[in-house]
Amino acid sequence: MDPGSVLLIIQKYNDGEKLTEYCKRIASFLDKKDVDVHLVCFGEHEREERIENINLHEFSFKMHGDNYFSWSMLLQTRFMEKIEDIIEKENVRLIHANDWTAVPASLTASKLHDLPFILTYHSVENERGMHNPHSHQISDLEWEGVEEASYVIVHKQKTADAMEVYDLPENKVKLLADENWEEDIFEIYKKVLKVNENLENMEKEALDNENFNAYMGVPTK
Amino acid sequence: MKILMLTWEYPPNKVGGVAAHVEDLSKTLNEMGHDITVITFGDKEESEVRDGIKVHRINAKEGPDITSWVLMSNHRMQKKGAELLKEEDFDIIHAHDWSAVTAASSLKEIADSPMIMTLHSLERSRVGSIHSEMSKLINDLEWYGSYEADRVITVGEDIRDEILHHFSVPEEKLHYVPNGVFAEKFQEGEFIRDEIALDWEVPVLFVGRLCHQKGVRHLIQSIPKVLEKKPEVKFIVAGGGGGVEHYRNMAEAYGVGDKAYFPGFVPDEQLIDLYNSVDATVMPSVYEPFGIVALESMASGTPVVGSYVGGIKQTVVHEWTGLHVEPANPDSIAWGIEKAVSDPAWNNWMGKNGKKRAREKFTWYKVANETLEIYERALG
Repeated sequence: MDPGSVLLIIQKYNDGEKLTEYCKRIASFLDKKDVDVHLVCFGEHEREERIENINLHEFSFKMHGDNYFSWSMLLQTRFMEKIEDIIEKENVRLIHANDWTAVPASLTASKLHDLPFILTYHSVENERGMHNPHSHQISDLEWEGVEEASYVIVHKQKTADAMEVYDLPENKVKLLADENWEEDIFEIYKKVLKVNENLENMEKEALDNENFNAYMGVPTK
Repeated sequence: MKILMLTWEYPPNKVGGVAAHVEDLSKTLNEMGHDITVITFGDKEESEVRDGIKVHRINAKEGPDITSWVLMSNHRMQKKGAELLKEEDFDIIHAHDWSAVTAASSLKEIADSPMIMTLHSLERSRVGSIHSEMSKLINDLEWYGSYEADRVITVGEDIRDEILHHFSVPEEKLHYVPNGVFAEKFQEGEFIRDEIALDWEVPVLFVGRLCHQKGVRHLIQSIPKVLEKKPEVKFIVAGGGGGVEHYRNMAEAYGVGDKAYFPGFVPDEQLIDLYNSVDATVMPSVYEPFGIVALESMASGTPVVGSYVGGIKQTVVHEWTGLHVEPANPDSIAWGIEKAVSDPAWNNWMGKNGKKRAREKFTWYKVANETLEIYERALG
């Protein structure tokens, strides 16, 4: 059976940078489990390449926003375009977005294709101090992501504490502070996919029963 | 045909003319048997069926600037659109103005349907030049929309030329479709002259946002010149926006405060009565992509004194349905007003010509049919 792919979304892929190295570690772990990783990000040039267990899909974008927030929002159109391309060609099983800059397109794609949505917040606006002129909008997007995600992964107690204001259901935020967090992420993926699979089976079963009942002349709702 | 309209404003939320345009076009297309869905901004997330049109309102947190709010709203529009696309297909994605561009270009990819872009006005003309980072972004989004769209519609010939010149859009992709008017609606107005003027006074109407673009300053500067020759003229300066107090003070400063009445924003029903009760409508605009007021006034049988700019060049026929005057020239505006009200028989004749022209040339059925032809072409 094709174990499928995981789609990672980050704003930019730069060797040595925290988010890039984070994705590389996930990809390296998933490679051992025969899970393919696709990564969509912005870059200076269009690039489709396999680097260190990652199928990199880098897109360029020439428009400038009038500030960082608007530029990040403008990028979402290209994010969406790339994500759609990959979903069309690959057997994507779940979307894993990183930080608010990846939330809008990832969220829309997950809704559109009924794909589980996992989110990592490396920090949140609340924790950063709400000093940005667009802090309230950023925080709103972060909240939207949290609300829609199956799980929110954080790696610092400080981030987990800052998220308490959201009053989330227990266990939705996963604080992964130990050394082997890749394994924990893999477990989260498996759990989410299992739930999704069960849901699909339940839906299929319900549909089969409905068809059977309809065929037998049993009144259905 | 199933059409998805994306617009930042839709009735009852109205700021500029886009809301009325999208509503009237949607209603007419719907009456012609097409299925219209609108995604727009609202105070809260809600869906309703309004005059046969499915309207979905999204909400977004306001930010420190309009661009960030618009981009945030577009994310929510895109999400709502994707939700709808799971259940149904749309043949056409039709965006109105820069404020719907990013959502429309994403939804076009998702739906694999052609995108139509109507540009109702352009930033560079609205503000005079691209002088700030915000204006640059808005201008870029207007360009991006016209680039991404399969077809671009403009409501005025001047904007079409501007788009050709500044955005290098291929000519065959650009279409000029003027706005329309439901003429019958404007014939139902009551004659309320005794409520707005004294027996001996001749009322003249201005309608629009009280801002620089509409040329209110030049109108006020023209009032003393009109009164020199026609002291019986009285000005009703109707419209909201932040400029009411400013222009009222300006009229006082020019010594014509008692001849210029500022009722503020006037709802549609009262506006129809006003059109039917004045001798002329004046449009002193310095920039006017289309100028729906000219059509409304003509449909009411009231001649228009309008600047020779934008859409007014096409709607008003000089000395036939009204008078063209020079924009930003108080002497010329005063000349036009004085001439329009000086000869009641001629005024009446121009009013009748205007009514006929509005009924024959600018109907929403004509607009809808031309828009449908553009949809068909986009679908190939």
